[in-house]
Amino acid sequence: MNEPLELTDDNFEQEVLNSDLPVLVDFWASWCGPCKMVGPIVEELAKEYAGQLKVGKLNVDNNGKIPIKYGIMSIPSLLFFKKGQVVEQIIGAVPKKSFVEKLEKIL
Amino acid sequence: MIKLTDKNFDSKVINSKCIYLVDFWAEWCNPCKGMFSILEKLSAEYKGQLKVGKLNVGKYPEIAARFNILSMPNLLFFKNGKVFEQIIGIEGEQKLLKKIKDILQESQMLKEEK
Repeated sequence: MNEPLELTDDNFEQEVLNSDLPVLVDFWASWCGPCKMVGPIVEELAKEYAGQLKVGKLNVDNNGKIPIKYGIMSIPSLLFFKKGQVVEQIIGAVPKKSFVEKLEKIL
Repeated sequence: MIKLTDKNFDSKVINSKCIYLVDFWAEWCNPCKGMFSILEKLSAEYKGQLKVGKLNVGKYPEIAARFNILSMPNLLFFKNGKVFEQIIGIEGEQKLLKKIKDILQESQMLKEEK
């Protein structure tokens, strides 16, 4: 079972920037309706791409520093990291297919 | 600029007699903080015609959800309790002021026509 990891301002560097695997980060908030559509997709991807991709979720209201660093202004925002760099991003709720297309490019 | 909360939102904004501009912002949105001084200026300039308030979406998520706010900064213009215009995202100060002034002028003209 691979559940998305809970990311914070404190563990972000270690879990995302220093990760050997590419990382998909879901920037979300509890009050954001579309974030609830993206949440289950991200959970599925964590299972389906286990071993190839790390998946994490960062609550923007509880962790203010990382969203500022990456200029997040909309939620949900999804950033794809590879070797500590953002290589792709998705803004807003989109179908799973769009995630898979991006992942196929970067994995 | 008035600090809006879930408690005062309806009494201040929805029941307002004049146009109410609400700036939805978030702690995690750095560019949002740049909007405050612009809106303060505007609020002083249009005193009596326009009220300006700001709402922290992280603190008052019910209000953000009620108006479907997902992008910040997000300016909603209310008249008679209803949203009639919206500006999303960052703009340069001059561009933003012009946009807001145009919106206010237009709504004023509509009033006169009636």
